[in-house]
Amino acid sequence: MKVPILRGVKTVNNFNRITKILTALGVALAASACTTINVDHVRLQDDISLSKGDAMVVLGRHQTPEIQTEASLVACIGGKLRSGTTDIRIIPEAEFVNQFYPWFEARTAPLRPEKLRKVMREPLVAKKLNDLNIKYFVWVEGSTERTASAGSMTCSIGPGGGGCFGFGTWEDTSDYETTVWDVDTFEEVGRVSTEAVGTSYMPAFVVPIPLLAQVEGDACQGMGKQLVEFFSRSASNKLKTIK
Amino acid sequence: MNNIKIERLKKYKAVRFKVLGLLLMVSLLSACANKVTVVADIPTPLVEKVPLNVHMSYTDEFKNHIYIENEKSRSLNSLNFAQAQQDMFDAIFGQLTTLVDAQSVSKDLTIEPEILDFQYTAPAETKLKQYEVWIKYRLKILGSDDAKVADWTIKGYGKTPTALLTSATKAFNSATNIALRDVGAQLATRFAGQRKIKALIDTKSGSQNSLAKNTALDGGESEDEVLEKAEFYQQQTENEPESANESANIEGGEDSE
Repeated sequence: MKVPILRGVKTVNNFNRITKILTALGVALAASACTTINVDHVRLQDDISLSKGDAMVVLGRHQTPEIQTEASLVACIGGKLRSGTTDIRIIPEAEFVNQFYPWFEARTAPLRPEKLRKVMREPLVAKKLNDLNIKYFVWVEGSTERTASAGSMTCSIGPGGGGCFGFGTWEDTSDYETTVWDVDTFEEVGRVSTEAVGTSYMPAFVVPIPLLAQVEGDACQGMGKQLVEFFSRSASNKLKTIK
Repeated sequence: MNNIKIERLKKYKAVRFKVLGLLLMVSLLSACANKVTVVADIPTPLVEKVPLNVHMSYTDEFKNHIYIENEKSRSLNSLNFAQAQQDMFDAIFGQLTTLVDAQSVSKDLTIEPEILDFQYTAPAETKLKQYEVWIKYRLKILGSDDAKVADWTIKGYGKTPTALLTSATKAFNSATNIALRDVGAQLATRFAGQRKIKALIDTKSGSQNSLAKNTALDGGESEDEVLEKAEFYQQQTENEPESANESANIEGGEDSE
């Protein structure tokens, strides 16, 4: 009768020890699953004039099958600008592209400010831009890609249950460039470049524990903050700083 | 008591296997899109109407076109985008020109689109996390006397990342819509600037100068603005990006292929 009790205590002790080891491993890996970001910012014009009721649009570049800026990142940067502003309207990409169809499609979108001038010669386009009070275009180009991966993991399932064993790690790299065009002068007024590298880990001991580096999200945070600062340097606008 | 427990355990295991089997089947089914019908989602183009009366002629083959996949190992069984493509052509040319019946005496052009090719890829085939669709059309453009004015070959490309979608059906619908949208964008931005079409617009309007005067009266544009706009269309056609080189060719009376 004593043997099963002793076995039970031993099992509990082992389970506690394994839990502690896993927790320590998880904490250690979580601390290391981080992202390194480098944000460069070039200001080409000091006078950024934005006032109450003005609007901006954040658009992703999709001009070739290789250049496909993620819609999620474009929406994220738009969200950062929206939360960092009080009186400036940020028009969502899909809404803008649909309203201005076919002038800002992957194949037809202007690649340089001079081309925007030509598109603006379309009376209907010029009128609509004017009606919406759009002052600046923020173009985002780049992508997040997997640049390295290592490790292996095996998962199996059987009548008694299933589980995964192993360890995987991978590195994601984000490389984005944001350019700001002034609609009134048809000139590029600023540029924000971001490079972010993050390593994620996935140890698996029965249950896989993903310790993910939010590379795209961190790149968005870095760029968004820089863009808000870029526009907030103008005395006339009403921007507040992102915390 | 032990027998009852064993029976319960067996039942529990049987139910668990059934649930797991069902989940596996659902996940496998969601990876395949058996029969997809595309619903068009093309915005109204923001373009000025040209002074041409156009009849859109759709053949029965075009109106009922369904892509049938013959390879059983591929992701798709069939893709029906017949109505979607017709909606796209109607939306573009309905905004760009004045659509008229075949019997209309004021008809300037008849446009008859024809599908030359359709291709697709799915993640299961390419190991890329995206669905891609290519569609190639030939537009036969006929004059008011039904004589051939031009052939215009045009390609559309659509790509949808898997991350945004919950099923292969939605992915194919989205990628096909993007490809149709691409075709529509090229038609809307280049149609009026094509040499033969532009000449026809000029002829119909009498001359470029009279067109400028008429437009100035109608829309408040100056003669200079209209001439500048005509020049812009010309430049747009000449300065197409490299990626668009393969997409549009219009040749008078000849197949550009």
